[in-house]
Amino acid sequence: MSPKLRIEGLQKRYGRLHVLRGVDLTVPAGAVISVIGPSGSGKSTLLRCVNRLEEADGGDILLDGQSIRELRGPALDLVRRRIGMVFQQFNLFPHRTVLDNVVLAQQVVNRTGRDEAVAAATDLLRQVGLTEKLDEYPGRLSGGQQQRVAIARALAMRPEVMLFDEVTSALDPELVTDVLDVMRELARQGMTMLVVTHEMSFARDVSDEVLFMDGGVVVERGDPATVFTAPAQERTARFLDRILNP
Amino acid sequence: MDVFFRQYFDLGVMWTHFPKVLAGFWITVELSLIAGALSMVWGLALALVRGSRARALAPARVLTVAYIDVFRGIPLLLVVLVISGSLPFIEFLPRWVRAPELFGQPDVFWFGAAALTVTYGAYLAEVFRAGLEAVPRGQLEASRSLGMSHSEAMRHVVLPQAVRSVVPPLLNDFIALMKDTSLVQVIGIVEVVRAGREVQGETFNSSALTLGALLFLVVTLPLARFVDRSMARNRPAGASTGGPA
Ligand SMILES: Nc1ncnc2c1ncn2[C@@H]1O[C@H](COP(=O)(O)OP(=O)(O)O)[C@@H](O)[C@H]1O
Ligand SMILES: [Mg+2]
Repeated sequence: MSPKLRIEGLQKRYGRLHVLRGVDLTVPAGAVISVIGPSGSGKSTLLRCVNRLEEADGGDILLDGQSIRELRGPALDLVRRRIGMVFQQFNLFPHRTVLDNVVLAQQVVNRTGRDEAVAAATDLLRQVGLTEKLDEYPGRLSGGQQQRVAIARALAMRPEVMLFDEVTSALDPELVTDVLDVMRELARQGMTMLVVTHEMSFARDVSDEVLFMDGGVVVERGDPATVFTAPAQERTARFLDRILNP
Repeated sequence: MDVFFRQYFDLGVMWTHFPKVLAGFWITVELSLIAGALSMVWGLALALVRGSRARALAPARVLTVAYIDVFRGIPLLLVVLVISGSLPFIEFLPRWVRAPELFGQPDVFWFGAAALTVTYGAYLAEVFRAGLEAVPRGQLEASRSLGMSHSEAMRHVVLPQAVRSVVPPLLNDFIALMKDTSLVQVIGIVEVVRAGREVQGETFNSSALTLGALLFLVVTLPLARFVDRSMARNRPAGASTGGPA
């Protein structure tokens, strides 16, 4: 059986800046893969290439064994629906209530009826602990609450894979736990996840595999216990030392 | 002093010619509303083409930029004269373009409306463009990542946010457009300024023009106040798109 998501030799350049230099990575169905690495190493670019917010310059991206790199138009929209994404900056729709943030794409993209969409959204918002905020506008929520709405919004499309790009990096420390708890629960329910994170405890406890990226390549990969306690590469060791003993 | 006062504020003249001035003002209002609505549609279309990223639209994008530059850079009066003095004589054009007489308005009315639309469309395109660019890029990306097409994302997410932020500048331009309708009198539309001028020619008294000015102020002053207030209100609130509240 082919893995849910597979990335092969992915290349990306911004002008003369070579950001991804041949990244390979496999996410089996139901697995959680974490990507760690210093800022500027290309982690966000990697995720953005996977759902085609950026066009890769080489290599391939396979979803259920099918290449999605050349898709355009409606076929691309359809694939994006199958891949959920949560951003560091939340990117909630400020002109819509919390409930409507989760309802909108269901109605627009899936043509779900209003009642059914509201029921699904209410259920998802309950799962992320926001039952009381349905009619608030995002601007009145804390960062942690906004990020949980963003997760519910992505889940409303019933994605097969979820991409998380440093979703707790813009949060005050005391709000991080609530968001990570939601992600842990999602992992427990069997969601396939590709997670870029600076939360080493999350990467260690939840991931099936950890990748360390630097300079646009995967420097090291392995099961979390090994990578965190006995990294094979000098660069990994230095990065972990800097992060874990600030 | 009395002579001075009577020259501008002769209530008798105002009263006698009130129907004529008011009829002119009604033309002004109709012209403003029609040209205002048309230039909003036209300006938004120009802004959407100009802001698009599709490769297929690249030539249209270049044309749009040129159009906006040209019509912001030449006088409205010139456009009025070119349109009214040329359209009727271009023989292969259909009759409703050469001599439009729609909804009971004479052809000069529509030439004037067309000239205002052509010119103000260029101004409003820039207003809309600024509004569209003020919507953070992450809004489009979040929408696309949920599976919305580009046009769905524009329609449901980007445009509603852009339109809100452009209401005050749009109204500002509407006030300017309304005042500029007085230019189309040169092609024979008896709007409020022309009506006042005709009275002035008959009576050697300017009170009908004063009356016209007052009628303008009845509309433009509240609008300007509203613009000032909503701009003041928008400033401190501003960017509340994400980031810890
Ligand atoms: N749109 C862009 N244009 C030009 N350079 C970019 C763009 N996006 C990212 N980069 C550059 O690519 C490199 C990798 O960025 P990114 O993927 O955001 O790294 P990370 O997420 O690991 O911090 C950085 O040097 C960044 O400046
Ligand atoms: Mg990043």
